[in-house]
Amino acid sequence: MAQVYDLCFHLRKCPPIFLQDSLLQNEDGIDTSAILTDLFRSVSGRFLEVDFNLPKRRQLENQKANYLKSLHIACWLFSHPYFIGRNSLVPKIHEFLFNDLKPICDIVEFEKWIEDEERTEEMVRTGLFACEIQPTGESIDEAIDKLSAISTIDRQEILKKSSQAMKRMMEIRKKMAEKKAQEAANPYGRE
Amino acid sequence: MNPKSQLIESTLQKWKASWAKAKLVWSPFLRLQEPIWCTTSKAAAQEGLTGSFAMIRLTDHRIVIDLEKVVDENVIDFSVEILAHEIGHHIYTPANLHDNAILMGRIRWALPEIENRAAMVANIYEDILINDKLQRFHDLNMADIYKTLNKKNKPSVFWTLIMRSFEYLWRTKRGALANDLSLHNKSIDADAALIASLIRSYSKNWLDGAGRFAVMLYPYLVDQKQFDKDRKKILVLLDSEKAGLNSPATSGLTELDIEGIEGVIDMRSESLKGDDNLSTATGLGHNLLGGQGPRNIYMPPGSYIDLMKQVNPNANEQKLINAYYKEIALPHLIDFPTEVSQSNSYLLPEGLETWNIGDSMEDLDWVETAIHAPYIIPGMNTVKRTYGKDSDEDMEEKPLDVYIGIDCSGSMVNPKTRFSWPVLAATIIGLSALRAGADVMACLSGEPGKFMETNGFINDEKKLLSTITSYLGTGYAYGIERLRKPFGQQNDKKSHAIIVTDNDIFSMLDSKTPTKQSHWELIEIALENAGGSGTIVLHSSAHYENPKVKRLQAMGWILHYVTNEEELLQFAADFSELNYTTN
Repeated sequence: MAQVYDLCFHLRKCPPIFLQDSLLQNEDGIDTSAILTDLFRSVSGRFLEVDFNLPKRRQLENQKANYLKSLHIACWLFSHPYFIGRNSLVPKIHEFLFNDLKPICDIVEFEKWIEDEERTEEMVRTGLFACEIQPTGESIDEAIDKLSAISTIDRQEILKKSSQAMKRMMEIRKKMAEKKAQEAANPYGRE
Repeated sequence: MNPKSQLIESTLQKWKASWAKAKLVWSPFLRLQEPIWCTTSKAAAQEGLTGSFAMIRLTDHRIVIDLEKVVDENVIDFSVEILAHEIGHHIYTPANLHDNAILMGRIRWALPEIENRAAMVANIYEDILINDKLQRFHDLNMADIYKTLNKKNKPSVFWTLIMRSFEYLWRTKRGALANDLSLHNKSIDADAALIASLIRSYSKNWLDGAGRFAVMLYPYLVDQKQFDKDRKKILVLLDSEKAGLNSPATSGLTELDIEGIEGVIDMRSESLKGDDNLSTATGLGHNLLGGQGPRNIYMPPGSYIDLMKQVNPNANEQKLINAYYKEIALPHLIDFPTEVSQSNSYLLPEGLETWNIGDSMEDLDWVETAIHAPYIIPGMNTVKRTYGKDSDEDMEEKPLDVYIGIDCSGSMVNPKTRFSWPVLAATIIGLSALRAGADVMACLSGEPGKFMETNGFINDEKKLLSTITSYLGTGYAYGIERLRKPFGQQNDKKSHAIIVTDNDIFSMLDSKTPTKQSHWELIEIALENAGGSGTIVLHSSAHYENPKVKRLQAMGWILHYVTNEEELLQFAADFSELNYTTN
């Protein structure tokens, strides 16, 4: 069991250095590979381990900057003492970082993970879900429902539909209003 | 005393005791009058409270509590919560009449064709803002009020949306407030999450979030039948919908609220990446935003009236339209032209003239009034003393009265529905004259047909504006015959005469008259009798009917041509400059 709000609090306190570009894309940036390796060493407890099946440098280089910065932020999340030394979580965190997180980063800008309360909670809940950890005080159904309710990917589909419907509705109303305005207009045309 | 009355009485005592605590929630320095406690719903209705158990009035900064309804709705135990909520309306949102009107205006932009729902939307927006503050930062149990209300109400989709928004804000379990799970769906979830995010983001600059909030609610309010049902359910929550009732017209609202209009954004589109066309505001009028009047920055008078009537349903339409043109005229008011004349070192009492209601009280001659008639009717048989000249070599400046005749024939727009340049020009000149101490006579004329004029030269701003902003829409031109009343005979006091008309005035000048005197003769005599300048503002090109123009000019009339209506504004400003810039 993990306290969602503890983890959210921890995530929001992410040091600014984690928000920098990756060294892979900017020579003034921070070393993404080093952060990842450090994370997996801490989580696994295997400090002499070198290979955690991390993506190759070239693979990471080709990733979008937003994703790489989000990756740094996620590493900060999993640096919370709750995850440290839990070797069984390594493959799950691996899956989260390199598969689950990527599509969300196409939509969510990296700053939002820290600045927007709901996005913070989404990263925490998605991370816990990936690790198969049940949040404290919540049933499994409740936890799934809460994650689903804030899921960016789920919401995008719904919003696309409702946004289109709204646009159509506004367009019709706009035309009606313009027609009404034209009818009401009686320009000061002197004979 | 029956048990219910006893319960109401004990509730009254309890709520009275909670008042100080409720004030303390916001600030220990808060000064606000104790609520008006109504022990019956009938008494509450007399105070203007119907539907809900509480309401606020911004006009007198009061809170009204219907204790019978409090008992009926079983919210007795939430005295601090409810009182603190009502206080929140007074000091947080909408807080004052001005912000209340701006909020309403911004929401109206987001609700095309259903603007009449703006007051309700504004009330809900304010409620969510206040309750979120009270629940999250002041540890008040606002959620339980809704839980209690839920027991009596069968929820609707709209209610579910609002409750789901609270669930997101307060991170409660699904169904804790939106208790009918059959009404839940992903679309409501998404909308509620966005509303929650909006409330958090705009809790400080809440006026800026109003447009977005209204757009979020828009799809839920469009269907009339559904809206009627939803409104009944939500009526119990509406405590600030009539906050501006009986308030005077708030100034500063004639201009288009560009910032507000730009904030009318659909958050659904906003949160989708790559959707750049976000603004949903619709416009009516000359530019995309519907601006009219000088620099196209003013809202149409019809929209202004609609907005102000929504803020105060009891508002008088005539007063509103007067306020509208006055506010637009204010930046353009001129120093009225003055005549140089000899002043008097000694004033000698001469005759008497009628004392009008607009005159100063100390001018009223009570003795002479009482001698004239035993029954005193102000403005009818009240008189004031007039004083004659002695001799003096000092000079003083004295403003000339002004006569403003406006062509109000069929080709004119109704100034209540669309912006009218002639009305603005007349307002500028008329108010400038009054400001300088002159009297003004205004006449609207659309003849043959109707005319409307002030009762001679007056100094009553309300009567003047009410005449200028009226509408006839009859006939084809300004009727020359209207000059007979003010200038048919020579006057002691000199006046300027201004006639705003178009080329049809020449047909009117040539037309037959019921007397032997032709219109040409009348207009000539009128100018002589006026004694000041005479200006005909013609909406025409300069060479039209040239011989007739020359004939008017020979009489002394100045012809001022305008080819578009905006030039009328320039004319109003030039009027003083060209003739009387010495003062």
